[in-house]
Amino acid sequence: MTTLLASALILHVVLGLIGLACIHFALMQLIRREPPYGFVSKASFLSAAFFLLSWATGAYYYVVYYGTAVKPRILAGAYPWAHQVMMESKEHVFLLVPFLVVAVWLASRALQNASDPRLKVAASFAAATALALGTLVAAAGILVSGGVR
Amino acid sequence: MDWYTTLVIMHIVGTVLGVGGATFVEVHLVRALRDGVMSPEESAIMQTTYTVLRVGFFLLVLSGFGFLILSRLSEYTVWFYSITFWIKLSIVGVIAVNAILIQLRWIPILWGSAIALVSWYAALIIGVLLRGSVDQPLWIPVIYVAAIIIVYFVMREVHSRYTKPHFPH
Repeated sequence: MTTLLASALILHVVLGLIGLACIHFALMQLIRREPPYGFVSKASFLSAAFFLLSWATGAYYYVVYYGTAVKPRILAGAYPWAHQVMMESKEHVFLLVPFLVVAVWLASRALQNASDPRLKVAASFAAATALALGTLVAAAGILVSGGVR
Repeated sequence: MDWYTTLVIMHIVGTVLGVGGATFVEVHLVRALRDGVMSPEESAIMQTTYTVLRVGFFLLVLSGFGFLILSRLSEYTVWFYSITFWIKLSIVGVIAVNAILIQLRWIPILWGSAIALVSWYAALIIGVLLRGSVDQPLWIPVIYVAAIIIVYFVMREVHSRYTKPHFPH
């Protein structure tokens, strides 16, 4: 693996984790009785930015290296489900996450101007769903890495 | 300094902040509720301690994934097949979910505190165990659950002795 590809893989993981941390912080504030919507807005915006950067670096690694060098090894190894189930799920589920986070950002901006309990609950659910899906995607990434033998 | 050493330091700092933070959350909580009322100053101390705890958690997770990336890049994938490693990862997940449940007040505060405290110490101890080999890793969840129950009853006793009845802040 070249240094550029290794850097892409490292950035993909690290940026995704920072994105998860940001949406986790946003969720923890959103579920308070009186959330600081300014903080939630900033945290969810940063989360969306980090997830999109994680997409870009992950996409480069996936297209240039994974499909030709890693996937065949996983499919020929003892754990082909690491690609067939985990990676196939991961590469579809991850598409949802940044959009959910953008929705949280927009909702928190609206909530800054006018209080709306139903929107607050909806934004909390969106943030919790993004966090849960992001965590599952990260766990799937570990399983895919473990599938390479 | 190589990446591995950097990650080890980051992991240790994260664990220290997390375990220390979790311990001091309980100490500060008991101290703050001795008179049954949490003052704004006591509340601020609690918030600061929670921030330290969250920073520790973030460092722990980030450095943990750093180890996994290093393993992947060096094709040393033994970690991925270790039951003990997956138990530790699950406990880290429990810490994150428990924090949300406490914030939502969907879990009684003493149970939440017991789970948080035991989970942090469990993550520390399992991290040490991962350096060697564990013969019977499936005992870890049993001991973990038993420890949560014991700590819950100890904390209930401590709160009933040293704090006055209070309303959650």
